[in-house]
Order: sequence, then C-alpha cells, then structure tokens
Amino acid sequence: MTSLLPLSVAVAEPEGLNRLPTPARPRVDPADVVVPDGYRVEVVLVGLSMPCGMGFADDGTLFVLEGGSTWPTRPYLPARILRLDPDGSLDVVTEEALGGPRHVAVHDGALLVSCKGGRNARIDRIELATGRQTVLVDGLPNGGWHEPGGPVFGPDGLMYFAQGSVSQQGVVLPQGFQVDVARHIGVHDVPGEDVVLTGNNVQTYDPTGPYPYLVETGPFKPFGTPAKRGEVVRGELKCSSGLWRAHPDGSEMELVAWGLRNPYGMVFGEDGELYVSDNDFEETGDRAIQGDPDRIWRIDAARTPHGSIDRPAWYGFPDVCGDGLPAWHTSHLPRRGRAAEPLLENPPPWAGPAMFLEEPHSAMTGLDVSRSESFGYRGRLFACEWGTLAPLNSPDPRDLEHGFRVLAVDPADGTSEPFMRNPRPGPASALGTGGLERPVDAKFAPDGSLYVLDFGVSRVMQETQMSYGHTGVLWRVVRDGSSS
Amino acid sequence: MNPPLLVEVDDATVHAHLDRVRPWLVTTRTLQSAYRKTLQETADQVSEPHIRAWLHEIAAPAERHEAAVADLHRAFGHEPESAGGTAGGMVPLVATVLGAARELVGEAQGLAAGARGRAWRHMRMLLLSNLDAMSGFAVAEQLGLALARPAVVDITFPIVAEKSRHQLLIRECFLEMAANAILYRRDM
Repeated sequence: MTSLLPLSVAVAEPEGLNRLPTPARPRVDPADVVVPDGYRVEVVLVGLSMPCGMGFADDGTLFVLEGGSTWPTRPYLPARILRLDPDGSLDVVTEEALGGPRHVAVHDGALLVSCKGGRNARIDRIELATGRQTVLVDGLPNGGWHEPGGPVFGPDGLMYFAQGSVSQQGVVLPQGFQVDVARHIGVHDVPGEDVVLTGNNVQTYDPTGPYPYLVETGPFKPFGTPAKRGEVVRGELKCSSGLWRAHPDGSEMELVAWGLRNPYGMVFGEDGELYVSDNDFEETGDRAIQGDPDRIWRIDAARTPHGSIDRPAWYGFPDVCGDGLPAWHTSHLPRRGRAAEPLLENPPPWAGPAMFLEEPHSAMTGLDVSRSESFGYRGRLFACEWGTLAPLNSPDPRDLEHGFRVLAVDPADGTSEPFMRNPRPGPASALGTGGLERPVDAKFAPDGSLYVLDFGVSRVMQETQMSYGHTGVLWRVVRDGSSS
Repeated sequence: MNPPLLVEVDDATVHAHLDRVRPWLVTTRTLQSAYRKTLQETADQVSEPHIRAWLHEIAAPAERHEAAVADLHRAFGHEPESAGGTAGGMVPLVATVLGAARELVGEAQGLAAGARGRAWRHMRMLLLSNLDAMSGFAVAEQLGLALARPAVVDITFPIVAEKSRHQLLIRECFLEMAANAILYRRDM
C-alpha cells in the first residue's frame, strides 16, 4: 500500500468557481443547472478526480470515492476515499489500489467498499476507528469493463452487491483490447448456472499479435477460444453479471440473480424492493446490437428468505436486451458492426420486464430514493445518467444527447421526469456552460438534501474517449421554496 | 451552507503540478531529438532503395514532432523559451550524446550477435529510440489528462498515433533486413 498523500484543500473565493485552473472545466455554476421550482443547487466540492460513488454516515459525514483507474482506464490518479465532515472539513481516509473504490456503505462503525480491482472485484471493510482493512468478499470476475454494484443493505439486514459482465457484448472481443485482453490475459465471463452453448462463435482478429490474425471466440471463453455446439459450461457462485447477498461479514453468500450487464446503481426503495440500474449493449464491433434500452430492474428474488434460492433469476445477458427481445431481433440489428447470434441453447427463463426503460446509451449509474416529505418526491428513485459514449459506441445521432442528467423515477408505475439537468441536452463542456458534466451517483443526506456526484469531463470522439482529472464536482440540491 | 472547497485545484497546487511537468517535456524533446538524428543518419546509410525511401518519408514528421514540444509547453501554460531553463538549453547536446551512446551500444550488441550490417544495427537502435520518444509524448498526454488540459491532448494524440504507425514501419524494415545482416553478413 502506498503512503497517503496530503490532500490540498482550499476554500473557493466567491469568483473562484468562474475561473478554475482546469481548462477542460473552467467554470462551475449552479445557475446553469436546471431543477424544479422550489429547489436550489449548491456547489460542495470542485476538483475531484474520477469520482465514482459516495455514502453517508448517520451523523451526516459523507464519504466520497475517487475511482483511480476508471473510464477509460487512464489517467490513473490516486484512488482515494475522502471524508467530508458536517463542519465542512475534508480529509483522506485511505487509498485503494489501481481499479479503485466504486461504492460505499457505512455500516457498524466501518466502511464497506466495493472495489473494481483488476481481474477480480472485491468488497473491503475499513474500520473507521482504526483504519484496519480486511477483505470481506473477493474473486468476483471483473476483467476491466463492467462495474461492481453496491453494497447496500436490505430490510432483512443482509448485504446485497453485484458485479457486471466481463465482456462487453457477450464474447471477449478485440474492440478496446487494452482494457481486457492486453492486461487480463485469459479473462472471460462465468455463468451463474449451467448453460448449454449453441456453438456460435465470433470470428474476429487478434490485435495483440505481431500481425493481426483471425481468431474464433465463444461465450464464457478466453479470447481466441471457440465454443462447441452442445458444450456445457458450469455455473459458479462467483459468476460474472451476478447479484448476491450475504451477511455483513461476507459469510453465507448467495447468488440472487445473474445476467445483469452493468448493475452500477443499487438501492432498496421505500417499498422494500431492490432496484438495480443496468446499461445496454453497444452498437459497434463484432457483436453489435442496436437500440438496447438502459433500464432499472426490480429484483423480485430479493424478497425471498436468505438461503432459499434454488435457481438464480436471469436478466438476459448475454442474449436478451433490456426490452426482452433477443439481441438478434430485427429491431436490434446493427447499422454498423456485425449482428449478434444466439449464444445460449435453451436459455433460462427471463426475469424481466424491467421496472423502467430509458433511452439507449444514457449510461444509467447511481441510484437513491427520496425518503423525506421535506425534500419531496417521496418514494421516487433518483437515477443518475452518466451520459452517452456515442459516437464511439453508437452511430445513431440521437444517442449523442442521451443522459447527462438526474431522473426522478416512480417505481410504482415506471414513469419518470427529469429532476436535474442542463438547459439543453449534453454535458456542460460541450454546451460551454458551468453546469452538469456526467452525474455518476446520487445520495440523500440525513438532513434530506440531495447530493449529486459529477464524474467530470469525459470527451468522446469517433475514435477514442478521454477523461480529465480534477474536473469532478459534488453538487447539493436543497428544497427551499425558491423559484427559478 | 459551507463554502465550496477546491480539491487540488487551488493556485499553489496547480502551479506545483505544472512545474513538475516541465522536466518531462524537456525529456520528451531530448528523446525525440535523439530519435530524429538517428533516423536521419540511418536513412542515409541504408542502400536498399525502398527502405531508404520509407525512412526518408518519416524524417519530416520526426522534425515536426520535435518542434511540437514547444506547443506542448504552451498547452501546459509554460513559456517554451524558458521552459527548461538551463536544462532546456542543453537539449541538443544531450540528444546528440544520447544518440551517440545508443549507437555505441547498438554497434557492440550487433557485433556481438554476429551482424555485420552497420545500417541494420542502427535500425535496431532506431526501433528502440522511436519507442522511447513515443512514450515521452504518451506520458505528456497522461499529464495533460490528469491536469485537465485538452490542448495538450490535441497535440499528443495525433503524434502518438503517427509515431505508432512509424514504429510499425521501422519494425518491418528492421525485420526485412535481418536475414541479410545475420546470415549473409552484409549491409543493405
């Protein structure tokens, strides 16, 4: 473990937010953020590097996670867990390694932190009194692309957590090979139950060889390893695309569901149900899929008693889109890249439909629920949308504007309304304003106000994506009766 | 409401970070300058007409990339003239010494390996030299990303891409000349 670096923190001068020394995000201005009448936006922190998640203690102390190696994997800046006391002082609790902290729950005098890791994700426990660190859960297949979800605590007192798929598109492919193939040699998805393969493989090229040469790759196989028709791949407890529950010490881990592609946001609603956000397939590369909606699932199996699940619920990855249609359905045939073929013979029953469907490539991330009448919207889910990666992952010009906002979603009927957004679609850096860039997490404070964590600037072009350090912002939204 | 806090974006911290970038840009210039000199010399030594032409083709971009380091200084908010101070003024000398040292090492290693072709031994040095210089620009890009400076990335991204293509070309030339250099012990 590296020694902790001292944190440079200064109080912003009144005009300081209008002339920040970060040209990628030179200005942060609450007046450029639109919220409903009666609400006011404030700035709490400016200059965070790749913040990914946060969590409150009961006394109002906020823990903010800087993710280290994130999206894309570089630049890798310190993967710190910061502590913001109610009096406004900020310090560093600890620092994690490369693929750093993503989500945190404050529980029983400790921080329970999911870390992306590298080949495997894990959950750490950090004692707040002593700083002592132990690993509660390890070995969740990660491989570089998709993210951990949770931990969150259910009404049953159990810890719920998740880990997204290893591959982006159901098969390990050369697109973006520096994320997985180049650094995690041999990684592959792992099913949550025994599956029979159709024998459909993806024929593509190996970008890591001295000369790009053709390879065949099957699902649940390392890059370059084909599947055979009728082949059985055994399911494992520590699968990819899984969602589990366990006691708070990590014991008696049970697989609740699998087939979740990127279950970044998790929250128990006021109705006691577990809601999980999830991201769509990409329309690019050698298994391209058009128009897969982002979604929020209601995980019905989370209502069952601990230890009673014989067969985990399946939410579709790698063959079914968020709308319940197969990835090779006419409506999902790609406009660029090669179309998907079925990978699973006799797939498990689908656990959908989703509680909420959102536009493709909105990149739904962190979730929380309003639990107070004082803030309003009681019972609504506040869902962050990090925002599109088009044109990198979609040729559809409509996808260029999806995301970059916070939605209020009613889990009772699946309706939604934008709660926090820029006046026009897109990130502030593209609009030339001081507003939102990429909302990544939302959490309600014990005082009822809403904190929104903004990842910062991530520029996407046809050929690449670049994220900028020191451009992350923590916003706060209070209900004060003001009108815009 | 507590006042907003600046995390590592106060003037003092930002200036300290920017100051730490300067020596790396000087290093990048030195590496690119050494590569450019080695390239020019090697291109003139190669007698095989196709390979000679290919190497001369990438000589002009190498000069352009070397000059772009001054733009990088400006993108980080430095004045190029004073960017390296004494160190900056030493760049041509250091690059020459670095190129000469690499040449000596390449000669010794090549001869020890039984290869008689001088041009081929220099091709090997060129392969390593471009990789080194390319990494210099790529690291500058990471610093630009870390310090939220898109103007840096706008300079480095096309340079790293172009130098990556040049690296492939140099490798192909190096490999094509290998059998002649080692088995037939002749220069090309």
